Amino acid sequence: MHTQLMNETFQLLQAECSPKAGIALDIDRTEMLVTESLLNSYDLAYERKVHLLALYTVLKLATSRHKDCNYSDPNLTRKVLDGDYLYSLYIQLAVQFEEIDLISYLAPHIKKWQIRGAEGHSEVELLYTCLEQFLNLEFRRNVSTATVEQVG
Amino acid sequence: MKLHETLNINLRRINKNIEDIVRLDRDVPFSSVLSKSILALIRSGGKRLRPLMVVVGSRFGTIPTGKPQLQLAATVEFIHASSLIHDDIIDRSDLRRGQPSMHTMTGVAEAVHIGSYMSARVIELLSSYSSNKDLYIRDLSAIATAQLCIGEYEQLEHRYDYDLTLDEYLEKSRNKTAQLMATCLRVGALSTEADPDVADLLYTFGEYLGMSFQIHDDLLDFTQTPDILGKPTGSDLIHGQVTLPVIYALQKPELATTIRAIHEGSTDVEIKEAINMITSSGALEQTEQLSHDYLNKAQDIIEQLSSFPAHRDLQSLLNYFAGRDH
Repeated sequence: MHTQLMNETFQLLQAECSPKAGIALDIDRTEMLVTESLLNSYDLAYERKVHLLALYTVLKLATSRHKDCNYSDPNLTRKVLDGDYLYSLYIQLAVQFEEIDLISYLAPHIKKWQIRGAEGHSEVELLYTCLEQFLNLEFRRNVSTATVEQVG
Repeated sequence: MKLHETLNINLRRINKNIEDIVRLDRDVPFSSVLSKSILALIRSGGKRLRPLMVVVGSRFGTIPTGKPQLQLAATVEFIHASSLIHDDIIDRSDLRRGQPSMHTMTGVAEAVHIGSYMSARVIELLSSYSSNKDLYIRDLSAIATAQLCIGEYEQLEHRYDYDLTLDEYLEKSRNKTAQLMATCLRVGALSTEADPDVADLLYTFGEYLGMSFQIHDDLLDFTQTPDILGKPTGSDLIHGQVTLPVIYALQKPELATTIRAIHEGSTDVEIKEAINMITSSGALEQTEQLSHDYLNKAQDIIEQLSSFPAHRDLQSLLNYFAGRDH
């Protein structure tokens, strides 16, 4: 199923991903749909949903490219480069979309995934869960700010 | 006198800051393979050019160079070191600074994650160091640049591509090397609240220096001994990298056929013949000239910044780049 949000996210990523990188955006649409449902459960502007879904997707792609790298893989070079490029793209896009709090929130989680990977563990904390926790925190902060303003 | 001594920069403090990035990470056990591998890589040497450039840039600001600048300098070197780990995997290079590369000790999959850990750790640190959101964003977007990767993609795309143009070569060098050096000077300057125009001039100076650095590096690949290089002479050509000496040599029709015949399966004799042809063709002298041309452009910028006492540090950097032999 292709929703408007998914299509716009995909178009955004295609426009932002350098043609020199030549990365095929093989996105798991089912997973995108689940993440879209998560985003729809919060009171977010449509444009922000596109941004968050794009950032989520870039991070998922980066993680998958760096997974299980080994010398016998004929695509090793591309996998390493693609993962590096997509992580950098995530930062650049997040700065561009002014999602600085998201970068700060996810940074320790992404770091811990890498530590686990370096220890030989392949399973990582779900990015989905991290995004949900970030939105919950933001939502609670917004509610408490609004309450203070009303009381004040 | 070593470069850091000429610049009056305490390299031991910078090195301590670099090591602290991993040593003070509570999520990393001290005795872990990750910690030991990173510390071994950091301690294996390196010229520390990028952190030195951050500190030099900071001397053009309106507030004194202090701890934040040293921390910023350390993060830049940390990012550079992380890129070396992935470069060695991409190049299938088993030696780094005369020691076994990290992936030969840890395994490829683990080394990929260790390199990525280093980048992620820097992002985590920058967000905790900076109370000023704008500073954080600026440093972050400058350091975590996708341009480095674009330079690598360009290099990959043009393996054994003997039709690579001079402009394409220069663009690849700019993306791969020069922009990060330029950025080091600029973020250093902006971190001490330098005038943005001054920071831009420093960026251009760094870009010229970086271009000269990369061209000179490509020259050394043909002129230095394997002992000094830590790899065979002509290693770039062996790996399909068409560098400036090759581009110049290809302009001579009598050499083109032999050089263009070099491919992944070429024998040592064929490669040696091509290297000898390139070396004696005058291409190395042309390459050296272009490297000097960039240094001359950098020299012009030093004149423009001569009202700053720190312009002498730019001169020291330029002199170092002009005289290096490895």
